Amino acid sequence: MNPKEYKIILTGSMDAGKTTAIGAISEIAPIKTDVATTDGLSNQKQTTTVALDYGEITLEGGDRLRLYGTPGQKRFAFMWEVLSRGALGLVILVDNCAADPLRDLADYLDTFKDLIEQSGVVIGVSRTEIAAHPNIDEYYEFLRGRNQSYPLFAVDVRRKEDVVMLLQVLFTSIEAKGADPVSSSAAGYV
Amino acid sequence: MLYLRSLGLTEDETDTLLKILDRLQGKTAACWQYSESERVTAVLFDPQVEGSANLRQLTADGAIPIRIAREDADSGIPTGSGLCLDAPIRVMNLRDVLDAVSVQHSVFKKYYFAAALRDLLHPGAGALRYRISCGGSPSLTLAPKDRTYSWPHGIELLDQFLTQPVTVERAADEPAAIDVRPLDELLWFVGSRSGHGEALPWVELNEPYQLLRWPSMAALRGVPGWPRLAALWFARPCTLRDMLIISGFPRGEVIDFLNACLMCQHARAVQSAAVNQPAQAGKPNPDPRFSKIRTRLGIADGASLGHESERV
Repeated sequence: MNPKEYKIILTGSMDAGKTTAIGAISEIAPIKTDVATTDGLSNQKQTTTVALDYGEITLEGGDRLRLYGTPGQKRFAFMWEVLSRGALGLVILVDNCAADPLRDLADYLDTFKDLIEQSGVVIGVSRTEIAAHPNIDEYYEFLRGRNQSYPLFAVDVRRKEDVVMLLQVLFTSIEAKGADPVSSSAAGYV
Repeated sequence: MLYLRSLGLTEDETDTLLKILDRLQGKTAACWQYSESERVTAVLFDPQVEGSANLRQLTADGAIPIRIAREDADSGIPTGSGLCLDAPIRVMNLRDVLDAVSVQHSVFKKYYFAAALRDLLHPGAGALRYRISCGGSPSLTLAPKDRTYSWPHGIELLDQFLTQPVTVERAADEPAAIDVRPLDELLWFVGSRSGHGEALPWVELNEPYQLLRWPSMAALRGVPGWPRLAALWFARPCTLRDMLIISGFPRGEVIDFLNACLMCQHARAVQSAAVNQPAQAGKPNPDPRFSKIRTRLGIADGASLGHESERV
């Protein structure tokens, strides 16, 4: 039997830690495609990912999990749809030090709407130790305001255990969704 | 909500009591209301009715007695084996006695620390900081409005707080200690360990619950099956009974998880109409693709939690 290939997408704002997250679990050194920042953000970061970050993990039977980090800059948005085809799920990383992290989150949720509906998403908020606001409750409130509810955590993507837990939550969420043929999104709280 | 009743007080004293109770709204550790019910949290009684059938019945039903002290003028705090309140009734004296009652009430409920935390975190609780101690251990400082606590040791050393009576005092509004930690860490620890597989007294197991948000990563790492329970309860509201069917997990593990989620206010009861029938939701089997990745990353799958799961 031919080995199978699986794909997980990591996306999010610049400096949210996509490359670091891939490096935390990839068995090969992440392939980076960083070049000088050119779109007015050079005061924030000298280089950024213009195409992809890539890492991989070999699974039982020679199967392979490919990890793709997508561009943080909006001018590369055209690539995202192509990249997300056939993906197992999506990890969104939000940099809490960004100017408007809630807006960033909304942008990524909108952009990857189809992938999220077809599979699932988990959201990691990084650098909360530096910028305390918005806090996690405010993120959940923001999602509720959009009539959405997704798993969301404060994470330190430098820690392998945090990145692994993001994937575990992504998988269990997708499996739980599959177990529920009737939408329960309209629960009324008492 | 805790309930106070009076027995043997004059009309004027009862009027004063009601007015002061009204003034104390939001200023006591727990929320108090006057009631003439037969089942109340505390009964404020005149020494003349001591030994009466009414008082005996109320205390037999769990009411904590508070004696009006008409002669001893300098006390408003627990004395001897009981509580007393100076007459005439003063606002701050009543507040202190009611706070003492709410802690004693928690102790009577067996779940000392969990019950005390629940009372102190009630929106009506007034103080900015509380000092909680247990036996001869160092005290823990709780700052409910900041959602923080401070404790000089590792959280595991709070274990004795879970099995012994605790004492709660209002603390001065001091500057935040250096070792301030997020309150949710404490609430999760206490919520997941106090019940030992049984529901905390205020948790109604027949209610359908749903997770409003996921527990923190540190909390989820406690037991291999908890991410799966969180996913299931986040996806749909359901009762304990339904969750046991859907998840196949041991009852004790599920109850500990629910206790912790409710303690942290990560979960809430929902209206029954929003609940799917369990028959409509199939048991989620692990996706074989994810199972391969989990194996490679050393993640416990949590689907076959059974009795083999252990807290880490």
